[in-house]
Amino acid sequence: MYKTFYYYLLSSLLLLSSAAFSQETPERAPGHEDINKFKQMYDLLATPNTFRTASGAPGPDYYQQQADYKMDIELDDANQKLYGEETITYTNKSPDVLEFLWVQLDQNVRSKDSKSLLIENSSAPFITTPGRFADQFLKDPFDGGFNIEHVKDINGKDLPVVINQTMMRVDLPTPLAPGQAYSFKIKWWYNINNHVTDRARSGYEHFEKDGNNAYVIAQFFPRMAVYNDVEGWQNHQFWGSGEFALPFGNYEVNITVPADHILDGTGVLQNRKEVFSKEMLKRYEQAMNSYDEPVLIVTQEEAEAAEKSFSDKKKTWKLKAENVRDFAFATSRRFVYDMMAVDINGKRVMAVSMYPKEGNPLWEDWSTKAVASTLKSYSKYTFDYPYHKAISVHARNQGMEYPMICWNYGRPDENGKISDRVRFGMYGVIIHEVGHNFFPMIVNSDERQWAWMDEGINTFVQYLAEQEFGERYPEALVGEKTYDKYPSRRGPAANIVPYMSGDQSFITPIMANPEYVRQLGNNAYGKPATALNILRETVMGPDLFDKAFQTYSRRWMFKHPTPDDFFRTMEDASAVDLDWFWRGWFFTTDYVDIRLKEVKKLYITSEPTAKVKAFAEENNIDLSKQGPLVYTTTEEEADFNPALKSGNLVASATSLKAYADENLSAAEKAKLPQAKFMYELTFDRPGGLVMPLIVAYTYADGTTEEVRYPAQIWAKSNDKVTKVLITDKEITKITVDPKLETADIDVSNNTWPREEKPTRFDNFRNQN
Amino acid sequence: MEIRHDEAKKELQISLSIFWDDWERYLDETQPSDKIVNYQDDSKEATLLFENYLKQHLRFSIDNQPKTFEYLGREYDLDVMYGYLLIKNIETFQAIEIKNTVLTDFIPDQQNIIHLITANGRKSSMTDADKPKAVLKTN
Repeated sequence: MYKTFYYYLLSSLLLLSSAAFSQETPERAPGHEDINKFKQMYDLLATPNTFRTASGAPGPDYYQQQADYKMDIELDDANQKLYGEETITYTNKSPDVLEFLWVQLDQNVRSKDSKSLLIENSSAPFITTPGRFADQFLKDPFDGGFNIEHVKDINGKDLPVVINQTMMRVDLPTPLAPGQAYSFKIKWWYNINNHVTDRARSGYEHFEKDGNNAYVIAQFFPRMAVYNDVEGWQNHQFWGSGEFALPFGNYEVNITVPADHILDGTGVLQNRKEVFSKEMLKRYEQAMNSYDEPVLIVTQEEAEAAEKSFSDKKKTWKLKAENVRDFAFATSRRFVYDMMAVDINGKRVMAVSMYPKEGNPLWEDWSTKAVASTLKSYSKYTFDYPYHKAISVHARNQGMEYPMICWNYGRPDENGKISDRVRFGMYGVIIHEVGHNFFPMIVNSDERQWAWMDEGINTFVQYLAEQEFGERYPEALVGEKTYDKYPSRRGPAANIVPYMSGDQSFITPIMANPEYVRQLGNNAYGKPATALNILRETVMGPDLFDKAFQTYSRRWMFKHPTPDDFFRTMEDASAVDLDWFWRGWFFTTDYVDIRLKEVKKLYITSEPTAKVKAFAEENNIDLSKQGPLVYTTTEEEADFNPALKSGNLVASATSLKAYADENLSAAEKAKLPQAKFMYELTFDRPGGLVMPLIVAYTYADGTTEEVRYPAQIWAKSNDKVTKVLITDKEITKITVDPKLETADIDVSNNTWPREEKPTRFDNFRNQN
Repeated sequence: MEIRHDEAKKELQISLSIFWDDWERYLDETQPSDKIVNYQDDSKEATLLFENYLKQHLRFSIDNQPKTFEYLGREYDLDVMYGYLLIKNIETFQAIEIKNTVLTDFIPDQQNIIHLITANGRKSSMTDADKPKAVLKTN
């Protein structure tokens, strides 16, 4: 592309167009506030302070509370009840005096008088099964809320408490001063729910054939709420959608289960020799040194043998975890159990899987490898995985994350058939839930307030990790079909178009609370993940993005970041002004639709065209007194002189030729014959989001060139952009966003000449 | 659902998409549990189930004349199933009425968006459980 002359031409054209404007007397429009898309975000971000700096880092006065737990837990497998006694030691590292503490009782969301049930809408289905009808309308609700037996101080004296739904206020005998710690005890039990029929995050799956249960147990104990500089106490109730906000702490947990159960959970197992058989210990030693293939600690045959007997003996598994924000475990006598070592920059981490036989053959083949691949990918983009293990547990139909352990779906059908949907669903959920170790288990954002900060950021890294999983294990991409790259659901820009082009009444901005957003999956997972992917690949480029993203992760690992900290850090470490991007993508429901509105093929001449003459006459301009001028014209104008199509722009305008001969350097003159074609392109923006303008030009000789204009091309005029091009080859085709990078919701207006793309319908019909 | 009028061929070309999650839920709730239809296979049984479902849940009438549609088939990717229908012998028309109860029978908050594309441009509407009918005019 050859652009030298643009400025000369522009200045002469400006002379005429400013004359045209001066003739107009528009009506005076009312004033307005700053509505520019590039307006800085002072109106949206919190004022920086000594807790959180303007650069997005923790400030000199940043603090966070600590909650340490010592717990004895017992499972009653026969009756599906869970009993616990815990001592919480809460350390007040804030500068504030606390009169009371808030403790979260998440299981109360399942108490039979839960207000969560009251806010559920119910309507009569057109068609349903008798069982579902009875469950929904006839049966008493399941009572799965906490039964708090006592709350006592360390000396055994009852403490006054008030329970408000899922939050319990513990009134302290004396206020807790900064720097002080307070210990208290809670004894509790609850009925464990069936998470399969309940569609819950925690509970058991029942296996009818042999009468066994597989437990995946989480948010099962009264947990401290977060107290911090942005929320005070985060005691927003748990209604079901908004997940968790939790302080870091150390855990010592003893869990007593039937002696024939296999258990694993958050933390380092303290008594492996007591709970593992000799054979298991031997295999564990092998697994510690197996970096390529998982080693079975409990085989399917052993799990099948175990499912037939129900031991009446008990065994206690002792786990200890440091600097975690939560604790969860899984236990069953039906679990197959395998492990493999992963090298994270020289540190050994164990990738672990636990699954009932129903998960096979998919799970023994791929779960542990997916865990290992995820740890490697995430460590590369954030920080080295700091814990010693990551466990993937197979649960029937849910995916849920906790520190070092998560539950994942993906089960072959009864005949052992694995559809691609199940296969990639299983890989994807494992990568996603293991990835949650990084966000929010370590980069500990407030899920109750901002679902996107963990789900969206995590889904973004999940996309990178999925692609790398496919590269590491090409054989994993062979299912019913063979894929040449991992078919990621979320991440590629084009995949978010159906959502962003949808009915606006069902779309909420990303910056919203998860309890009221519409379409949570698209809102908190899909759209932010896609936005970050576009930011990385198209707006910032991987180098600038990756460093900034890593800076955010490292600044906030083992801390509590807010959205502002993320937005600020991404700019702080990259020098890319992103206010327009955050404002548009995160604070509005605007969408991208950039249109190639008009393409004019222009010629230049020294002879005044009819159009110019008419303009001059109307405005009393004597063209002969203006000195040498250059005029542009098009083939569509009635007095167009075909001789102008000589193929040399400059030669066809004598005034310009004379100017060039006199004023241009020898090197510039040498390039003049290359100036053969001239175009004026107009782009506009039916969509609300500004984005980089990516244009592919195809020339008559078949070559193509892609030009990437930064988003700031829209800065002065948010609505319309005009570009003049001078080229040495004729342009035959122009395409905006040719690789579908920007989530443009209507690409039918992106091409010149306009192209009728075959519809999905046409494609189907032609193939069948 | 996208309804496209091809004037040259005098036909309405209809494509619709359904999330597998939703379709699987329908199958789970309505099929006997001892008989698992392989959801993503191309057996006659599996496709017939879908065709019959659409015939029960979609009604079209053009300028107040009920029209039957031909089921051309379905295809799917990892998340979405696409169905293709055809209504023949449609020259110019003023309005099309669609009664659409697809998925709304067992997912109460399901909304189905309908786009009509004719020589006069694009029109959109929406149906849901409360309002299963939509009328789209061509100009």
